[in-house]
Amino acid sequence: MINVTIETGQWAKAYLAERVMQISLPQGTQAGNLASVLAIGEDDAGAVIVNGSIAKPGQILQDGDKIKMLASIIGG
Amino acid sequence: MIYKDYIRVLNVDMASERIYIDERQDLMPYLGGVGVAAKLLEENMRADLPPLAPEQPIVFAIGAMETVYPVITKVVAMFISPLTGELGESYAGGRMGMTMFQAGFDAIVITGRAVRPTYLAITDTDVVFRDSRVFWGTGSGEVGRHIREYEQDQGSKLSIIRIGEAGENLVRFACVSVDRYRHFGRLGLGAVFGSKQLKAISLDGNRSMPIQNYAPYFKVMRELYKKATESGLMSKYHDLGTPVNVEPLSAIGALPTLNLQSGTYEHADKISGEEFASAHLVRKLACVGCPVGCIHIGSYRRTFAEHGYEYESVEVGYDYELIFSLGSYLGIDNTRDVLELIEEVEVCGMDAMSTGVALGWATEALEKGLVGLDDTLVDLKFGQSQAYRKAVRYMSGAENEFYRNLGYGVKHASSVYGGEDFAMHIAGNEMAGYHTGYAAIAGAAVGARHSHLCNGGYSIDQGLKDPDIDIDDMANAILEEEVERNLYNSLIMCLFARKIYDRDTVIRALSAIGQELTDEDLSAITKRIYATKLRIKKALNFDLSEVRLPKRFFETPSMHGKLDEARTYEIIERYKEMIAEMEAFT
Amino acid sequence: MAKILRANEMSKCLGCFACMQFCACVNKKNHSLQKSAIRIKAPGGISDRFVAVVCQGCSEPPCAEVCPSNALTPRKGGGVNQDPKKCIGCRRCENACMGHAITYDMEEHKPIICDHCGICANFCPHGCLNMQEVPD
Repeated sequence: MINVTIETGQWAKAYLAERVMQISLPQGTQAGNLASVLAIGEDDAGAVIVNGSIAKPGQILQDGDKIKMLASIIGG
Repeated sequence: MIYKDYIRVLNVDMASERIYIDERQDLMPYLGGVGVAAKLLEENMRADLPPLAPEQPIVFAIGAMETVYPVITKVVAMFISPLTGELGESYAGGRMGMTMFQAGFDAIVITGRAVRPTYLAITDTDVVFRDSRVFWGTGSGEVGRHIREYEQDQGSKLSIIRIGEAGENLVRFACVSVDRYRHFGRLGLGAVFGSKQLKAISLDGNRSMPIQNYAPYFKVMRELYKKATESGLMSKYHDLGTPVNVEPLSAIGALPTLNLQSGTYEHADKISGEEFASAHLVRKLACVGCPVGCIHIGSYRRTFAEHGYEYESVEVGYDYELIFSLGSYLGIDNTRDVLELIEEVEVCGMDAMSTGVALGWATEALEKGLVGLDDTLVDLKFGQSQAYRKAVRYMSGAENEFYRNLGYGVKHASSVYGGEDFAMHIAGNEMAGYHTGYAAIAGAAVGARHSHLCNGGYSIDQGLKDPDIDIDDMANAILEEEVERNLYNSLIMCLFARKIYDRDTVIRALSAIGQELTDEDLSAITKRIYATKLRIKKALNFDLSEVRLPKRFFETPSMHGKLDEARTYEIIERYKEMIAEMEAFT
Repeated sequence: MAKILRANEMSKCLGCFACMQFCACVNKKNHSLQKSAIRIKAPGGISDRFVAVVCQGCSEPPCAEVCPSNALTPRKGGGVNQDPKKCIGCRRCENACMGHAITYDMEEHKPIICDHCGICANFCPHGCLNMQEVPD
C-alpha cells in the first residue's frame, strides 16, 4: 500500500468526507483510475494533478504523492 | 402549439404598427424552437440586404415542450447577425418562454423599423406599440423597472427583454437582456433591436391550458422532476455553478488567459468558483420551470463618493464565460474587479465574451503600437480593471472611430489596424472560454453559428483519450453532435439538462402531450432543421473554405498541446465534404 | 393532527415556480400558472425578494365568514374547505382575504382556494415551503 494526500474541492463533498485527506491506495494505482478507485462519479471528476503537474496517461502513483483532483468541466 | 396540429405565429410590422397571426400546419415537421425559427428566418430574411436593414426579421420561438417539463426553459432568437453577416442564433431563459407559452404564441416574427423608439407590450389579448422615446438612452436595468411600473405587473410573471446603450448604438455584439439576469448574448441581436428602434418587449399571458392526458403526463413530469432534482446530474450547476470550471481549465491549460497568450492563469485560484462563492454569492435563481437554479448572484460593495462613507450594494449575475472573458482573458486577478466589469458590461448591454476578447486584442494592439493612446483614450493594460471599465463605456457609446471599429468585432478591427494573428475570433465570432483542442476550434468554425455550443467541441476534446484522433472521426463526432443538438433546441431544453433527456425520454414526454413521434421521426427532424440552416448560410454566401483562423490558436499550447494549423483546416474541409449533400434534405 | 402549509423559508426561493406549476397541474389539471392557489411574487421584479402569496390557514377565516352560500367552511387546523357546487361566484371571499391569497378563476367563475394539500411543498426544490402539523 502507498499513502498519498488528496485534495479536492466542494464539488467532491458527496464522495469524500474531507477536502484534504490522507489515504492508502494499493501499489500500482494509476492516476487515471483514481476516480473509480475512490468511487467518485465519472461525470464529476476531471483532471488529476500529481505533485504540481498534470498526470500523464498511465502514470502510477507513488508513496507520499500530493494529489489534487479537479472537477470535470461542465457546460452546455 | 401544444395539443394542436399547427404552429401559431405572431407577425409584427414595426413600421406600420400592424400585426397578423398565422396558424401554420406546414411548420409541424420542424417540431418547434430552432426548427420553426430557422424556417421562418429562411422565409423572411432578405439575403440581398445588409443585416441591419429594416426589412430583416427577428424571429423568436419556443419549443415543442416549452415550460411543461422541467428545465425546458429556453427561447431561441434567429436573425442575420450584424457581427458575422450570416446566420444568427441565440438562446435565453428567464421568464420569456413561459410567457410566450401562456400568451399562446409559438413564434414571433418582427420586421420593419419603428418611426420612433418603441417597446412592444405583448399579451394573449393584445399587442401594443408603446412610445419609448423617453427610455432611449436608458440602461438595460433601468428600462426594465420603468416598463414593469407601466405594465402594472403585480408579481414577477411579466417577462421584459430589452437593450442597453450598446444596442441603440448598433454595437455589433450588443446583447438583449432577459429579465435582468439572462441574455440573448451572442452575435448582436441587440444591434438588430436597435436598428428597428425596438427598445424592449414585455410579455405576459394568462391563457388557460387544460392538460389533455393528465395521468400519463403527470407520470412523466414527476419522473423528470425527480431526475432533475435528485439524481446528482444537475447539482453541480446549482452548487458552485459553471465557475467551478475556472481552476480545472487553467490546470489543464485550456483557460484562455491574457488574450490567449497562455492557457494557464497564475491567479486562477483567486477567481475560482469557490472564491466567488465564499466572497460574493448571496443568492441563486432559476428560470421558470427549472428546479435546478443555476443562476448565481454575487454582491459587492461600491462607494459612490470619496468622503462620508457613501456605499451601495451591487448584485450581479456571474458565470464561467464571464469570468474567463472579463477575468483571466484580461489578467484581472480578483473577484471583486471581475464582478465590477461584468456589471459595467451588463448595464451597457453587450455580449460579455465578445467584449472581453475585443478588449484583450485592443490591449495588445496598443502595446505593439498598432493603435495609440489617442485611439484607446485610456491606457489599456492587462490587470488594470479601471481602464477596462472606461473602455467598456467607450465601446458601448461608440466614443470615437477606434471604439466604433472595435464595436464591429475583432475581425473587423484587426482588418483596419492590423494584429489579425491575435484577434481571437472564429469566423467573425469572438472565441469562447475553451482552448481545449481541435474540436473546440474546428467545431466553432463549422458550427452553424460559430458558437462553442453549436456542437460542444470542448466537450469532445475533453472526452478524447487520444488527441491524435483520425480526422474523419473528429469531423464525424462534431457533425453528429451538431445535428443532434437541433433536437434539444427544438424542444427547447437548457443544454445543461441534455443528459436527463435521452431520446427515449423525449419520445415518452412528447407522447404524453399528444405528439406521437418515433426515433426515426426525430432523426429526420434534426436533419431537416440542420439542412434549413445550411441553406440560410449558403444564401448569405458563407463558405467554410474561406474561414481563416488567427495564428495564436496554433502558437499557444492547448489542453492537448500545440495544435497543428494544417490539421485544423483539414478537419474543416472534411466536414465541408460531409455536409455537401445535406442541405437538400427535406 | 391536521397539517397546514407554511411558506416560512422564502429567503431561499429560486423563483422556479415549480410550486405553481404542480398546484395548477394536480389540482386544476391545467398548464397555466394562473390556476395555481399559490403565487410567487417579486414586487420589484426578479432582483427583488420573492414572497409566497398563499392561504395563511386562519383559524377564524374571514373568507368563510363572508361566504353567503356555505361554499367555504372552516377547515380543521386552519383555512377553509371549498364546495364548488355551492359557490355562486359572488367574489366576496376574494375581498375578505387580507392576505390577497384568493384569486378568481374567470373561466370557471369560482375562486381558487388552497386546500393545504401539500403538493407545492412536495415539489419545492429548495425547502421554502413546508407542511406543519397543527392541533385540530
